[in-house]
Amino acid sequence: MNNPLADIHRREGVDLVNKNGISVPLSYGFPDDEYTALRHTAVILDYSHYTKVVISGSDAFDFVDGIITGRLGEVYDENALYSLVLDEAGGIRTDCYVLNNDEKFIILAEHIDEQQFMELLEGVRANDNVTFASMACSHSLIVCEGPYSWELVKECFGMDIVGIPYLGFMTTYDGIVIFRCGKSGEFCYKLLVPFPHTVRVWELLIQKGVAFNARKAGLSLQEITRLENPFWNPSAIGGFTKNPIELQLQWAIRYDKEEFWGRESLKFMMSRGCGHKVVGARFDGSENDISKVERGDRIFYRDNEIGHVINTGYSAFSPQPGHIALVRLLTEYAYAGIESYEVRPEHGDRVALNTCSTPFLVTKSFFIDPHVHSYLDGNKPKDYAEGLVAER
Amino acid sequence: MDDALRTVIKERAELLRRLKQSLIERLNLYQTVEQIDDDTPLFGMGLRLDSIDATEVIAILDAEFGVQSGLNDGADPAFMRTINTLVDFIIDQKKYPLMLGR
Repeated sequence: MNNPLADIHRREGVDLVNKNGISVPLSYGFPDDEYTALRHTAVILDYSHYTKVVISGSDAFDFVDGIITGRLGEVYDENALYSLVLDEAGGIRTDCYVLNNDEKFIILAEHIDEQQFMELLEGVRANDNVTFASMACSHSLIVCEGPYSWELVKECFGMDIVGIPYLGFMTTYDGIVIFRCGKSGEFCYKLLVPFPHTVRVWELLIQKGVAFNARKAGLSLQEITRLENPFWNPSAIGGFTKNPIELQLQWAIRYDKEEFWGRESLKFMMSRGCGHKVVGARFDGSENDISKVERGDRIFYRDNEIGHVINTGYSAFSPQPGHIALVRLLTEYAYAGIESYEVRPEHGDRVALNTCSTPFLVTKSFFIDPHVHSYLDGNKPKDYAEGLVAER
Repeated sequence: MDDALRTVIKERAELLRRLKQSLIERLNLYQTVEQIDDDTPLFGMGLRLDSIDATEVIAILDAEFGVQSGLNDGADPAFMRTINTLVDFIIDQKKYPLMLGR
């Protein structure tokens, strides 16, 4: 499939990765700098691998509502919903955003390739009152993410950007859909860009981004950010569980809906109770010992095996940098704030483990109000902390 | 599970249950207690509460748990991110009430 940015990526010699059949940057070679930019200013990413489908027709609303776990009726025009798509067994098949765009619905799904998704939709289409159209050969997806991404996108597209609410979007005169959402905990704008404008928009963001010390970043950045701020992440945790109840993703499910894929299986799981639950954890031990902890390593309370590590990584986020993990524990042990468990790595010494709530961090974006703060305007504070200092 | 751990977990589980029940009742949420996970975000995604709901959450902390938010004294509002962080806050404030408004 096409990606208008492919030539630029190749010319720059970026490490590419094939995701959902589309080549996108994996890394620009400086992961620490990419991470710092994401958490302090802004990064610019090519996320063209997202599956992008428009569903329209007189039955489109009922069709989409019957697929997703969320309630489409709560989504006004120019707003969107984060939801799950389940399989027959009630496991997560993918997560997605559904954008209500003037009675058409744009679905953006990260973890399923377009052909698979179209086949899935085709398999349940009852009549011709619903039509699907792929955007893979017409639109790119460029992402600008970070605590000052709102200001960078504003510099490129004007003041209206500041007024976009979370999970809201606007469409520019040249057909670019600018959608505010995100999975890192920072401000984030996904730009659904028609191919003729893709290179121009990419270069504009890069050019305007210089003033923000913004950086281009690749998909590998997700390895840590999706751990710090957990979402459905099949490549990291899908091998251990796909159960939305275990994964604490029930907030994306409307149990009071009469119908959605996987509903009956999910309700059955709910009534039976889940044996496990996934919670956050921080390791407490020497760097050498912690570095030997891997996915799948077993967790014990005293001599009772109570679960296992399903994802782990190093978070450089200040003020509490350190090794963090998602652990899957027997439900009766799966609570935050417990300091009595330990991991027994396959290839190392025991490491103490303290369970904690997730997300693991309070991001810089939490302390920024686009109406009050600014990265560029020296007359305004950069965030609430700087504002307080100025007031004193 | 020994008694010490059982006590810690029981205390936290009870606080979680009471908090979820209070939120359901006072904010008219459609969920049951079992359908609200401990790490559910309160604002944005998750329960999708707004600023008016936030004042109700502060009222719940006071009325149901005897805990002052300290927000008027400049406390960091980060404790209001999830159900679990609210419970962390309640437990902290019950242990160290003199640190209100830190």
